[in-house]
This record gives sequence, C-alpha cells and structure tokens, in this order.
Amino acid sequence: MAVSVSNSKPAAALAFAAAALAACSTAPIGLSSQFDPPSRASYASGKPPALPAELCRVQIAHFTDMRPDNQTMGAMGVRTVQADTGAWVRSGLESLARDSRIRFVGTASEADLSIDVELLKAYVMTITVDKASNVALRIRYSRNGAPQGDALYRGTDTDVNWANGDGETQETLNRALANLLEDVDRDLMARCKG
Amino acid sequence: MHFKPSHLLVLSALLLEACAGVPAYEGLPPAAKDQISSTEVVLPIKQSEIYVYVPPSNVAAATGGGLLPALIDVAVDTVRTDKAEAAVKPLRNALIDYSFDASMQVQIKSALNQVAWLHVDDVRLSKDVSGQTLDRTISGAKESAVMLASSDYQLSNDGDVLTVSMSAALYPNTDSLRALRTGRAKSSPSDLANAIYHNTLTFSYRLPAATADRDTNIALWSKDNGAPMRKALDASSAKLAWLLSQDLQSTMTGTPVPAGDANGMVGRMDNGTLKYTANSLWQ
Repeated sequence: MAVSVSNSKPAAALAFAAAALAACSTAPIGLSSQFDPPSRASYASGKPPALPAELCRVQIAHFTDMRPDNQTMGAMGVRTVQADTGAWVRSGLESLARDSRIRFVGTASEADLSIDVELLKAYVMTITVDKASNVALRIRYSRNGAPQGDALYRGTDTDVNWANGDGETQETLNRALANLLEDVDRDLMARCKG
Repeated sequence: MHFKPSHLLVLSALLLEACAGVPAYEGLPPAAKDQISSTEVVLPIKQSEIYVYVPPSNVAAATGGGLLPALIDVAVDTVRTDKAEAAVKPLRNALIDYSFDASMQVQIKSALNQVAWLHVDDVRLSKDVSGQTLDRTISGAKESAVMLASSDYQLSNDGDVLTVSMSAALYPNTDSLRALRTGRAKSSPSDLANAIYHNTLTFSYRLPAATADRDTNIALWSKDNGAPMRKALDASSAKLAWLLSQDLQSTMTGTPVPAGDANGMVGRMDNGTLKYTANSLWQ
C-alpha cells in the first residue's frame, strides 16, 4: 500500500528516525534523585486531614544501600542508568507523608514505629520491546526499641521501551517505587494500629 | 512523493545496523601465550536479577509486514512481558540475597588462575556496561591484555530451562599483541574486531521435574528459598568459567575442548561457539 505523504508524515518519519538514533545511543542515562510519585499513587492522593487517633508517627532510623554497586540502576539497552539511588529511595519514603495519617519524626521516642530500611534492588532492564523496573526493600520494624518483625517489599513496572530515553526511564522507576510504597503505606498503618 | 510504511522499517533497520555486528568466534593465536605478561579481567553483568525470556510476537512477519501488525506485535510483547515479570517475582524474592555476580567472579578467578600464562592480576565486576566505560577499561589498563566476559542469565518462556550465556573477548594492550590481530582495527577499543580472542559460551539446564506450566516450574525453582536455582546458577558459573579456560587453551595446545563430563555435554557449534548442556547438577 502506497501512502501519500502529508505535511505531518515527514515529521513523523523524522521523529521515528530520531527515536531510532536515540536507541543507538550509548551515553549513560542520569536520573534525578528526587522521587516524583505518579498521580495515581493511592497514598499520594488527597485525603482529609487525619484525626489525632489515626496519626502514625514514623522514624526512619537507618537506611542502608545493600547493593554491591550503588551507582548503577541497570540499563536501557546498552545505556547504563546512573543515579543517587539512595537519595531517590529516601525521597520516595518521605513522600509517604503525603498520606495525611503518616508523620515522620526525628527520634524513636517521638515515634509509634521506627523502621530500618535496606535497599536490596533498584533497576530497569529491557526485554524484547519493553522495559521492566524493579525496586526491592526490606523494612525492619521496631516499637520503643523492641523488634516488630520485618517484611520484603517489591515494586514493579513494565511498559513499552520507546527509545531508551531518559524521561521514560525516570517514569518507569518512579512507578515501580510508587507501587512498592503503596504496600509500605498500608503496612505502616496496619502496624501502627497494632 | 510516496512514502511506504515499509520505508520506515528499512530506515530503522539501517540505523540500528550501526549498533550491530558481532562475529561469533576467533581462537587465541598460539603466539599470544608468550607475550601476555599480565591480564585484567572485567565481568560486565548488566542485569540485577534473573528474568524470563519472552519470545517476540510475529504478527507482522506472518502478515507480510506493515505498521499496524507491527503495533500489534508491540502490544502482544508488552502483555507477555508483563505476565512474565509477574510470574518470576516469587523466584526473585527467593533469591533476594543471592549474588550470581559474586558466584561468577569466584569461578572465573579460580578457572583463569589455572591458566598460568594469562597472569591474571584481578577479576572485577562491573554493572556499567556502556560502550564508553568498556572502552575506558581497555584504554586505561596497565596490563598487557584485558579480558571482558559479560554474562546473561534467564529462564525460558515456560520457566523450565535456565540458560546462562557468556560473551568473552581478550583485547591486546601491547604492540606485540596487537600485531596478532587478524582483522582491521576499529576505533572503539571494545569493538570485537580489536580482540585477539572472542567467543560466546552457553550453559543450559532443564529442571528435571519441569511441567508445561510456567508458574509451577517457577515454584519448583523457588522452593527452599530458591535452593534449586541457586545450585543451578552456581553450577552455570563454574561450568562457563571452566569452558572459557578450556577454549582459551585449545588453540595453544591443539587439543579440542572436552566433549563433556559427568554432568553434561559440550558441543562446539558450526560457528565456533560452545554450548554446555547439563543433565544433572553436582555437589
């Protein structure tokens, strides 16, 4: 089938060629260390202010990046993804304060729950024409210095890999972290009540 | 002017062609043996966890091409990848404290230290697999040779077969070694054309109790905190490291790589690549 080229089609062809060339790029992708939750993240949606009885005061006591290489977050094609991953995950945890029932505090004595966070995985990889992101954390809970158990959390996101682009890489990792944070948000509230 | 959708595919193929071009096998020239005074070994391992191979959809090919079938392929691939990623999650969680990278590092170091004339100085891991980083690794090396051995590990689409592959290349870093190159030199130091040895080695192992159901197979790999998969991955790194050392030495001694051992068979393919098919795992 022959297709007549309208004004928009050469532009589309050029955009396609540009995308194909971008896919050929080998330059590393540098990501922002600031987590930006997707608008659909349930904990980040507008909720009425919490009643005092509902408030969960949380202290992030320790944060440890357990990954052997804490500079790299996988690769998009042959483009290595680089970021201050620890800062990115911490900003993600702090975004839980968008849930009006959660308030972060600085000391254990002020907190209903203290958490020790281990960053285990944070990466994106490409599979066929897609990109797949994973973030995994282990959180150890304690209350007044007494251990309250731990849990493994994993957030994921899969989407089409358009052109190994910087923006789409940031977005997929943000979605994976938001996916994980929804589980953390739910657990924090459940454990606070317990 | 008429513009056909197929032109876009040709255009993209031409553009992507610039990324491609990987020869299969080149044996190490025997003369290299006496000229390698030291070797740095770097293991680029891009992935952080195991994944499930997703076979690409072929609607476009089956229907004679076109943009619409190509878009259908993309949609099908995305659904399949999404399902595969969800399916492999329990196995990834079971292996959360396991490091394939560390296993490979230990095995490569042990196997290549047996090849005395390589004079292996160091074996280090790299998660940064960008072309620039690999180029810098070679151009900045103090050793007379640099080996890059990158690995990939994956489950088949049905989750029944583990496949681990290694692409290894030895790059010269002295004039006398560079003189042994058979092809024309390329400007990018890590281009395979600049290597004096390169090959692809593959290990595969089928789960003995495998079923036709992916979720069942992944549950089998995941049981006991992922013990079956840990054992298989450890075995894969041991066998691939052994194969690499055998392949490097085969042109020196004129002795072919062994056809196998008690745990599996080795085959050299027509293009020179090597494949180890395990029929059992060892202690």
